[in-house]
Parts: sequence; C-alpha cells; structure tokens
Amino acid sequence: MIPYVLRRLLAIPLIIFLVTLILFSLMWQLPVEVRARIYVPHSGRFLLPDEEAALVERAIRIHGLDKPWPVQYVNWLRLLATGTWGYSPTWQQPVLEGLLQRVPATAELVLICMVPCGGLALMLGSLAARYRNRFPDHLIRATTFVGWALPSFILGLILMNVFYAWLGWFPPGRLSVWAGAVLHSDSFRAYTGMHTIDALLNLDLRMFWDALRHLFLPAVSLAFAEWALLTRIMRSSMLDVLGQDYVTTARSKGAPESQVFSVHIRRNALLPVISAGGAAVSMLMSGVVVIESVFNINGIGRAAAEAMLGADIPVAVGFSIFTCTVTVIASLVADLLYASADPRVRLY
Amino acid sequence: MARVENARSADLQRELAHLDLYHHSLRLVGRKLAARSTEASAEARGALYERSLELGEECATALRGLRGNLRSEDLSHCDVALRGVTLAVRRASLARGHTLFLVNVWRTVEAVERFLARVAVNYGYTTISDTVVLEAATAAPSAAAQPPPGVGPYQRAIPTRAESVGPLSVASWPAIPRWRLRQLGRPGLLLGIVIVLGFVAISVAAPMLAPPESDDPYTMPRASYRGNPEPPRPGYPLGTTERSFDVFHGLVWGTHVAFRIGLSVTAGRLLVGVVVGLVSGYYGRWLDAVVMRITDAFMAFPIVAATLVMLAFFGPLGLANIGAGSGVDSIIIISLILFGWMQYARLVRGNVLAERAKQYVEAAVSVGAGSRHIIWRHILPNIPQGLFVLAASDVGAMVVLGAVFTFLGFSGRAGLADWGWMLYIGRNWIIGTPSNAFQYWYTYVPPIAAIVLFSTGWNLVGDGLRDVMDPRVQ
Repeated sequence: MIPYVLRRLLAIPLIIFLVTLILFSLMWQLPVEVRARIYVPHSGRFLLPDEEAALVERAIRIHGLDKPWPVQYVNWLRLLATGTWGYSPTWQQPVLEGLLQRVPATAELVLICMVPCGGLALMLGSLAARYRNRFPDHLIRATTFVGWALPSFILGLILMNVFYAWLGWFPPGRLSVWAGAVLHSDSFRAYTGMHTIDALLNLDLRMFWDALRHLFLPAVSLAFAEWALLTRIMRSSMLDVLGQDYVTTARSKGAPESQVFSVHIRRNALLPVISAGGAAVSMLMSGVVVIESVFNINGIGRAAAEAMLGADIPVAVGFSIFTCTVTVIASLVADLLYASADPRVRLY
Repeated sequence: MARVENARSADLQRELAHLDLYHHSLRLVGRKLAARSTEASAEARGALYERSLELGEECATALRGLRGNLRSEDLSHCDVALRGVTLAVRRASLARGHTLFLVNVWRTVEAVERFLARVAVNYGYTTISDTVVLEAATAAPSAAAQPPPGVGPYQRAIPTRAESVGPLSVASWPAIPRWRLRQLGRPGLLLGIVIVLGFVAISVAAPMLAPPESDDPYTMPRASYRGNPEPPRPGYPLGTTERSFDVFHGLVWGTHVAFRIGLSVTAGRLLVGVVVGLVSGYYGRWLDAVVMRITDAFMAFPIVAATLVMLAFFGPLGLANIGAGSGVDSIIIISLILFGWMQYARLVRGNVLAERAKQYVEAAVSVGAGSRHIIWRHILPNIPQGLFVLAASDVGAMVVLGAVFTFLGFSGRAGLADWGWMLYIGRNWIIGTPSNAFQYWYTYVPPIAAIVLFSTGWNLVGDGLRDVMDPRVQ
C-alpha cells in the first residue's frame, strides 16, 4: 500500500504542473497590460490614466512580464507559491484573501452534500438491488430518475418556489437577521466560519437550527443529482456482483448472508461508486457556482461568478487554480480509497 | 427457457463472428503469400505458412463449436464446410513451400465463405466486418487484373465480399446486428426519440407556430410596454413575461438556440475526442502516456469554472458589452468543447486498445499493412462503441450548461428567444406574491419545462442506445 500511495503522490505535482501550464497558456493570450494589472493593488481612489499606466509599467518591470514565456511561467509559479495571487478590482482585496474568506460558506455546503451523496446513495442503492423489481426498487429508481432529469439550478428554483415562497419553511441566504446579529456580537467566537459548526461550538442551538434551515435547500438541490447518479451506479454494480459466480458459490457452501455481503459483495460493489465519486466532486464544484447564485450564499462560487461578470482576471485565475486543486485532491482521495478497497491496483 | 435460448443465440453470434474473423485473416495471409511468392525471405514466408495453418485450424475449431448450436437443417452445411476445411488444412500442412499450399488456403477460405453465405443469414448475423468489404473493394481490382501464378482459377472462383454484398453503404456503419436493431422499440428509447423528434418538429415549424413580427425571429415580440408579467390571454397562449415579452414565441424559437449549442458543442467534442483518442490509443508508448496525462490535467478543471475563466479572459471586457454579436456565445461553445472532450478521448482510446488486440488487426499487421491503412480500414469503423451514447446525452446536457451561463447573466440580451434568458428574468418573479406563491408561474414554468424535457429526451435516447448497443447491461 505505501509504495502505491507514494507513487500516486508523486503524480500530483505533474498534474498540477500541466494544469498551471494550461492556465498559463490561456493567460499568455492576453495583452501584457492586462496581465500586469493583476499585480496592481486597488488604491481606493480614482486613478488618472497616467498614474495607472505608471503602475502597470512598474508591475511589468517588477514581475518581469516582458521576459520570454518560460521565465514568466516560472515567475508566475513562484508568485503563486508565495501567496501573491494578485488584487481583485471587483472584490477590492487581494485574491487569495478574498478566496479564503469565502471558502467556509462553500465548504459547509459541499461537506453537508457529502452525507446524502455518500451514505444515502450506498444504502439506497444496495437496498434497491436487493429488492430488485419490487416496491423499494421502483420507488428508488423513480426518485433517481427525477434527480437525473432535473439540472441542479432548476431544481433549486423549483424548491425555492415551493418551500420558501409557498410553504415558507426554508429561507434563502445563510442566516436570518437575528442570527446574523448574534454572529457579530462579542460573545460569539467564530472558529471555522462555517455557521453550523460555529453555532454548535458556541452551544447556541437556536442558531444552529437557523443555519441548518438556510442550508437545507441549497444542499438538497446541489446533492440531488450526485445522489441520483451514485445510487444508480451502486444499484447496477450491486446487481452485477450479485450475479457473479463467487457469490453463488459462497451461498451454496452455506455461508451466512451477512458474511456473504461483507466479505464477497460489499467491496466489489463499491469500486465503481468510488471512481464515480471522485468525478462527482468536479460536478459539485461546478454546481456550487450556480447554486450559490440561486440561493444567494456568499461563497466563492457566487463571488467568482459576479467578479467574472466584471471580467475580473485575477479572480478568474485564482478561482480556477483553487477549484482545480480541490478536484485533483478529490481524485487522489478517490484513488487511494479505490486502492484500499481493491488490492489489485496497488500492484501497478 | 427463453434465457437458455438467448444464451445459445449469443454463443452462436460469437462463434459466427470468430469464424468470420479467422477466415478473413486467412484470406489476407493467403493473399500476402501469393504476392510475395518470389522475393520475400524464407523466414518471412515460413512464418506466413505457420500462421495460415493456425488460422485454418481455428476455422475448423469454430465450425466444430458452431455445430452444437445450429438448427438441425443447417447441420449438413456445417459438416460439408468442416470436411472441406479439415481436408484442405491437412493437405496444406504437407505442401509447405509449394503452390499447392496456396490452393488449399483458398479452398479453406472458400469453404467457410460458402458456409457463411448460406447459413449466417438464417440467424440474423450480418457479417461484422464491414472493414472486410472495404478491404475487398480496394484489393479486388488488382488481384483480378494480375492473378498470382498458379492460383489464378481459385482466386477468381472465390467471390469477393464486394461482389457478393455490393459496395459499402452508410446504413451498415457502425455494424449493428439486426437482432439488436429490433430492440429499438424499447419504451424508454422510443419516448426519448419521440421527445427529440417533437423538438425538431417545433423548430422546423417555428415560423408557422409563432410568426416573427420583425426581421429578427430570435427576439421575443413585446405585447405592450408594461413592465410586469401578465397571464395567458388570447394571442399570448403562455402569457407575457417581464417587459411584456411573449413567452410562447420565446419557447418556440428557443428550440433553435438549444439545437445550435447542443449539436455544435457535441460535434466539436466528438471531433477532438476521436482524433486524440485514436492517435493516443494507436501509437501508444510515450505519446499515449503524455496525452493521457494532459487529458487528466484537463479533467481537473470543473467545466463551469473553466468556462467562467474563458469568459473572463476572452469575453468582452465588462458587463456592459455582454450581449448580441459580442462573441460571448462562441466563447461559451469553444470553452465547452475545450474542457469537455476528455471523456470521448478516453472512450475512443479504450476502444482502440481493445480493437488493436484483436486477431484481424494482427493479421493485417502480419501481412505488412501500414498504420494509416489499419486505422482507417480496421480500427475507425469499430470505435463508435459507446460514442453515440455519450454524444446523445451530451446534447441535452450542453443545453442545460448553456442555460446556466445565460442564467448567471453572461450571455443573452433583452428579449432573446432563449430558454436560459427566459429563466434569467423569470427568476425575478419566482417568489410570487404574498397571497399566491405561484402567481407568475408562466414566467418560469415554460422555460423550466422546455429545458427539462429537452435534456430528458436526449438522456433517454442515450440510455436506450446503450441498452441496445451493449446487451450485457440487461
């Protein structure tokens, strides 16, 4: 296992290198003034054209933007590594700072999505396979069909219409007004920036409930499609494994059903779900942008989309590096899980 | 009982396919032997002799295997062919280095050929190798014009595929056995086809359904200058949305926008994916490793994030410039292609690797065929496996993605007949009024229904196609 992990870890820098190279070759198409403006901090007042030109000129000189591209590429990587991600004109703050400030809201949303995507999909998928062509199977398949047919942002709009406008159960945003006041009061300590966890750590159950209520609709609309996908995959891979000869053999030699399930079925059925789960994170990162916009959550997705409506290039670069890092890490985790479930791949 | 029948039929199809492949490979090897009768080295010729004998044995084995699954009335044909093949192989093994060897090779090919022509049709087996037709069509004239010494009569006695089947028609590509085509009537697939055809019909009939009031049919006409949506009424069957744009008009003409983005993005992805996958899978080695790592790197970009970046980089700078004729739509299409071809490439590469390992490609290599020839004649016709399934689902998904960017405000303009833009303004009315949450349903329900129906239709087509193409799923 350890050699495999090491080998897999060694592949990460290569992927990161290629990802940054793709991004850099896209950036390279932009005029040098535009690229230089990434490093011009916002002064807070209106600049005269001469002053701005001087600042841009200075940035070109300092960061060597008039050098050949390999030099610039290495320079750019060094700047990224040291945390100089540029200044966003629309956020009016450094890009890295802006991203980190907005990460908790997005992380909270994505993490809470993992619960239905992971656990529920596995449970219901195997339930459907076990009761194939009977009532539970039909019910689960009908639900996954809905999830498969409804794009997440459309589901979000429908849920908002029904559960907020009509029933008034789940409001949009992140917190109610009173809870926002509690959040900014002196007695409240923000540990993580994720409101649900902070509320629990501060032992404020009312606020926890409020944050959860606000989180419910976006989490459901973001997770539903992934859940449906993973459930479908789990069901079909369970059916696949259940039809294998070694399962029949295990049963025919009299092994108890629980043992057949835990020894012969579970691991093998999980494999396709794990590899699909790694890819699903990329879909989640795409979904986050839209869902945050629909539900008015101030996470990185919505903030980035709004910044890019103003053609904010520093945010564009920072946001893509951030999301790529997340998906690369997710696929690494998926690979390692796969290897731990399937010893065969460790040999390669 | 039916399952046993199905299993038997599947076995039969497989056996027939094997037989078909083996005898065709044998034909190729034989042709090479005949052409090289004078100048090739003794060693190369020796290898070809051995290969022909092996292939002859394989044909005999396949025939023996078939015997158990055939209907009783066809057994006599099988026996005749088997006797002919075994006799020819035994004689050939005694005649290495002699022209009689070739004579016996052709006899083997001929026996199998006759058998397939008589029997295969009865079991709904359309000969899988359309590649064979191509091969024969190109090879036949030269072979007929200059018959190799000593084998002339036999060579001419065997009808080539081109003569017996006629020229390759588009309808037979990709090769789908007839029994699978029968499954096109599956309910899900049928429903999907009906939905998609319905949208095609709407887009064709758009000028009649919603006659444009100005030169530009892609702008929804305005009923008045009032700002608020108004419910359905005569002349406006689905009401008017914000700023009095006609919803029905937008819905009908939106099909054009949907088909444009769906089909163009999918076509682009197919093109890039097939080329990359083919090159990577066929040439292999370091090129494959490099291309696959690049593919991995592209896969790290979530599609929405990547497209946003492309829009920020290359879109018209600033919100005010976004609108008609600004090139935003083409940036979205290009970026959906640029960051979306990877699945196609991986699929094609996998198919190429599987195909390369097969015996008929080996046979083509053994007779010295060039790589361009092998790619075009042997591998390309076999890679659509699963490709159309992916493409069909993608057409619907691309419409959803296109709507996402319009919904976020990146493309579209006031009054554009596009489902995404209708949703973009319909969203302002989704809360309704305090007394009735669904007061303005006609602003957002029609575009939602259109998008969902469109993508579901294509998804059903894709899923159904997979079931038809890949019987294992059942």
